[in-house]
Amino acid sequence: MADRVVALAAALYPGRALCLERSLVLYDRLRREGAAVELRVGVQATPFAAHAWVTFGGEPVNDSAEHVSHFVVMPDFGT
Amino acid sequence: MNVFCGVARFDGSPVPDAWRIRFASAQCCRTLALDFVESAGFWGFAGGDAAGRRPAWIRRRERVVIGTARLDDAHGSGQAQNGAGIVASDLKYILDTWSGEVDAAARLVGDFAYVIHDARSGKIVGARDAFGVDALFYRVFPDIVAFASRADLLATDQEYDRQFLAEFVARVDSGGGRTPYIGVCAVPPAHVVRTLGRSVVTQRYWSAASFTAPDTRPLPAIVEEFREHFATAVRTRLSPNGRTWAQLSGGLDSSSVVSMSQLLSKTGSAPSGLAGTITLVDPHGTGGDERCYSDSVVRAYDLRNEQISGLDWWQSDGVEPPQTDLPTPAYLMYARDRRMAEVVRAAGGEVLFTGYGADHYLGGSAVFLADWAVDGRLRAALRESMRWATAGHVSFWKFAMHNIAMPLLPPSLVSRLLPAASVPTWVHARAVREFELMEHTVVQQAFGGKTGGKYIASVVQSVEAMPDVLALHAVIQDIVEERHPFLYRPLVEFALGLPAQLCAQPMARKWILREAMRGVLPETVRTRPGKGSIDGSLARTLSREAGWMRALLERSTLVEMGLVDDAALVRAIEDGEPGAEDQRAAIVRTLALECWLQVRSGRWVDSERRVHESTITFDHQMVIPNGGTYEHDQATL
Repeated sequence: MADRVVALAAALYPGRALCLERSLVLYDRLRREGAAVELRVGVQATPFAAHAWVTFGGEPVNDSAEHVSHFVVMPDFGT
Repeated sequence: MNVFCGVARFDGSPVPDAWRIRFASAQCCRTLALDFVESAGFWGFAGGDAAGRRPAWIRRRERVVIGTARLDDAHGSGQAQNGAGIVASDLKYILDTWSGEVDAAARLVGDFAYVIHDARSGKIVGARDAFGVDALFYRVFPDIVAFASRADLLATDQEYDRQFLAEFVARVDSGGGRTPYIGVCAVPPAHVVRTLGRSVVTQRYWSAASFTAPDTRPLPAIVEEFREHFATAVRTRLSPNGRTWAQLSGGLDSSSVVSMSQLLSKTGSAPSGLAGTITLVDPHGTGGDERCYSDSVVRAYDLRNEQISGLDWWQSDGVEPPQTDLPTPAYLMYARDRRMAEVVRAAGGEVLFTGYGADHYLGGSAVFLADWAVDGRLRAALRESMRWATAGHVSFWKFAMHNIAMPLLPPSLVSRLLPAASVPTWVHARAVREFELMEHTVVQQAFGGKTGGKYIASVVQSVEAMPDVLALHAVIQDIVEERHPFLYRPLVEFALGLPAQLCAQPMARKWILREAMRGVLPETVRTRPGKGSIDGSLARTLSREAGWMRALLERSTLVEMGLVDDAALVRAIEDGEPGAEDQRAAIVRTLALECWLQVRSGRWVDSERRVHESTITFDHQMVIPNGGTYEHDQATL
């Protein structure tokens, strides 16, 4: 539900609302509600690309497992 | 390789020896066993090696047919045969039912390319199947007209059509059946070409646009009929002697073909299923490695699966590059494609199934929202845009702009708004002007069609572009016969009438196929939202093969012909912006054409050997499902 609300808001937001902005907002919202979610940032070497997403119990909340599997996850930020 | 040729003299007199020698001794025929035929005013040959669907000729009194055919109709013994047997049987049927009219080709369902000569009426007619699965070319000379299955057989050495080459680089098609060779034309799919005096006329016998009346029946009936058509498409293409293989990428289309084949075999609806599957693996993990999906299909049906891993774009296999008659954007994959076809042949395979076709008429697009908007349903179009944008995690504004507003704008304006879809920057400005390339860009083709009918126009245009996709496998087709279940004409005709939303759904393209494959396809594949991308391997190639690219461009044929600005091309290669997927594909397309030209002229082989010798390894792995054992064979070239 929270994912849908953030996705809806991000789709309508006229400025930049890419994966990082979406994931930060979702992460903050879910954390405030007490959910043990984690923010993940991953990179892909060739072609270079970076991506952010939120996980709960190791599963992506706001992305598909197939898509995030293309990225190497950066070390945890200690959240 | 297989080839056929048919030549007729306009005045009905015998074809002179000089012409016979010219065609029969063409480079592509030199190593083949040819079988000749002659009748009054007509001469031709069919031949090839043991692989694939070998062409044939049949004579009935004053008529001769020469070509290749694999018809879907169960009209005779063809369904029970293979290779040359099926061709002869189907050609016999074509000849026996030939009325001399255009309708004769329209009644045939299947893959075919043939030439019929009727000595009594002096008619010569060439015909090609609805989607261009089989190739047919023609050339009109002052006294004769010649048809052939390979364009280079009719060409005059090194006389290239600059307009075709410029359009190839610019991803533009102005129509007219151009080929790379001056004077040689392709018979367009769904067309017949017949002589008229000392010239020829081209007539269409089938059009995707005729089948777009919307199907309004209840959804379960539509899904069931789709599934029945698809099952028939697979069954009629399965070789009865169990020598059919299938490409299995792990995507929805190829997985559906494989799963349906095995289901038909298991239920006794087909005499045999697949002998094996073959999977190309991008081991570097940038979206091209779909083994987790292909493995789930292999496990579900206990199938043999061969995996080819590590042969990337533009890597040599140490053997001469193949001389295909047409360039294709995937020409630089020739080593990988050759390896794949040879693995299938070595395992006894004669037929290779592909998943080609579904992208073109089942994928759909959200352009239907533009049709809704002009139909007075703007609010519904905006609401649907919101649903797509939310599901796809993209901006609503950009989505609505691309799918509602842009299709309704003048195409010239859209080209400016979407520079990636315009003519690549390295196409020489003179060539852009000379061939009016800006008038036929990808955008102009995609957003063409009348207002209110943009979606249908885009699907029809996509179906008509099928030969470009089929040509991607030119190297494979010379080694093993490819069959494409999604190009079964009744299936395509049925699907063209589907409402847009049964195909195009956010994160679930080809929705109807997903529904029809419920219970047949493993759920992990049936519900996967996306598909592996080749972009990672393109990007890797452009950085890894810089030395080879420099060598290729030092003596560029395209630059010498004034079609490409090499400085601009090098700049584009070096810029390599992240996310510039279209740009990378366009660069590789240009390099593929340059490479193809240099292979044909004999310039290219040395530079290939110099750069690649001793550096390339590839893995070939056979996976035995449920057996728990793997054989692994690594070779260094």
